[in-house]
Amino acid sequence: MYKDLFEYGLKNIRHKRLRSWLTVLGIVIGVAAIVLLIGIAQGLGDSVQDSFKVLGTNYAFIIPGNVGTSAGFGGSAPALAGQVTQRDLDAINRVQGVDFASGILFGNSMEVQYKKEKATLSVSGVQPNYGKSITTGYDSGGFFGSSDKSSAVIGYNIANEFFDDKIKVGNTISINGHDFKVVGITSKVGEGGFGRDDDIVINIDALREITGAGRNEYSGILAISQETVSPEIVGDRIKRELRNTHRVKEGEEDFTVFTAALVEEQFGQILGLLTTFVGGVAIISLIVGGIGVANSMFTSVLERTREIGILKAIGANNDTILKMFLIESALIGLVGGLIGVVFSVLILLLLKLVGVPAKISLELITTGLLFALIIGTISGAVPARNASRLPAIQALRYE
Amino acid sequence: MKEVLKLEDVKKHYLMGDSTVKALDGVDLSVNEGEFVAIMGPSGSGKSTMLSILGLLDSPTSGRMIIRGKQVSHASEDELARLRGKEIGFIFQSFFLVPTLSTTDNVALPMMLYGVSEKERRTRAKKLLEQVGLGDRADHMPSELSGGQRQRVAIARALANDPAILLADEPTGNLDSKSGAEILKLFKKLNDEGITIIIVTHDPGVASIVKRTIHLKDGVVEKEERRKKE
Repeated sequence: MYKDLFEYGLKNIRHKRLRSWLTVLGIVIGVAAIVLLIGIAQGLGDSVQDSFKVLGTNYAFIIPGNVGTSAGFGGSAPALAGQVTQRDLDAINRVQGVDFASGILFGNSMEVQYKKEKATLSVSGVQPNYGKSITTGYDSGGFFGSSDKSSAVIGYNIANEFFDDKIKVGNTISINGHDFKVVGITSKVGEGGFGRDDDIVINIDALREITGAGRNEYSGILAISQETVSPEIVGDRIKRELRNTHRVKEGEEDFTVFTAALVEEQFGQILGLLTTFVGGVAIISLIVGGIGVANSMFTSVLERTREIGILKAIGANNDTILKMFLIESALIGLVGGLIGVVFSVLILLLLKLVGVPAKISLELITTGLLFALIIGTISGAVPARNASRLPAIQALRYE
Repeated sequence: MKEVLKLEDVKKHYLMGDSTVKALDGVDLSVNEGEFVAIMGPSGSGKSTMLSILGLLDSPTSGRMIIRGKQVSHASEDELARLRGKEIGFIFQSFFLVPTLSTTDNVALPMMLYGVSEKERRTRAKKLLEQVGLGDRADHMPSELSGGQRQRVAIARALANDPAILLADEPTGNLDSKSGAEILKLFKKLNDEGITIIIVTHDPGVASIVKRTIHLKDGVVEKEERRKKE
């Protein structure tokens, strides 16, 4: 019986070709929007997570000032100014689970010159053990020695893209008039590498000499935790230890400890928001498509009042008429869903080819199809019920 | 002779504002297997109501209706639908074929609704189309057929589930006289093959071929004529 009703619906859809296709198109657009937008959002999420994996998750970064965990990145100025000093570095080095900690000084707006070309860039001054934290490897060369104060390690972009001439290991760059020999160029890390590709790293004492920063002063401390300990636990321990050295209560910290987990969580929140928003937009377009189906079915019921009468006169009961119309609208939904999914998967594949992160998952495809089917069925429900309840004589007399 | 249809004191009253309209006011009727009956009467005589009740599209206010020995006057809605499909072969003035279905599918439709297997449906639909002289139009769409041909398809469809009676409502009303005469000839042929037929009409031409004519007036049987076999 269902097979017969299915065929009956199909014949009817084919009969009213243009209108059926327009209705189907509404669903196609809705489903394609869902699959496409969510696919891209998920792809984006995956690529961000992948880039987190590049740097590993076993680090914590401690900076002065409380930026708050909810403030996110790069937005508000520190609520509580503070300092990170040698005392903090020593304290962190004593924290259980910390493999090593390394003080970092940032030199902003430094004049960097290569051959005749000058540029304003920021330079990181680091302690010799910082070299151990570069786990992503070198394009060429390596890290400078512990007492080497006239060498620099530069990121892949600085070496290859920033200046007109490519910088090679062995070349000399000058920073505020001081010459540094490039001894290492780090491998390309990509988007998630927190700027490693654009970094210029020199010895911290060398940078102090250039900028005149105090001996005790650090812009931040990078702490790498031992493999065996959870980085979050280590992060919490560091926080506790620093509260002691800074003599502040919980909630009043004048420093901030970023851990990979925290950073990832914040990215996750942003991405979640993005996915929800994008999904919402997509669902709206699907609902609009559903209204199209409902409209089409209402018209169809009206047009086919006589047919309903005929069917009833030759033995169709209310249930059969109901199923007939429901199956028809579900079919419109399903056909629209199928076309929409095929269409959007093709586009996603194309996007992948040109390098846009896009994810095609079976769940997403199934969700798209299910949504289309459900929307089709729901939109057909009321018209179908109306159709099934039409009294036969009245329907037959309908002109 | 086996009785296939019996009406006992069937009444149908409608409320129209304050007054009651007695569309049918106590009709008795008995139709035996193989009979060919015309129900005639001027408009307002209760003819249409009679048609609806005989076609199980409407229930009488009171009285009993029995088809093939089974009382049907107060069956449930679903049961009525099933009986319409099985026991009544309805033929309409304007043919009422389903425009999206081929002739074969139209003829097979009542069988589909009754749950006959697809293979059996197709075989029987082909046979029925041959029986009404349209064996060569099995795959045509209704829009490709003439009025007379459409009515033949409708007759084949009405015969699909081997009903107790063929019930025709002005079957020649929308046809030119030549096609009309051919349809009446087809009814005659089917009746000769043993099929029970009731035609509701005001066309006196129909009366000339049936064996029995029932005249309705003001909701009651006014008179009845039987024609001797020629």
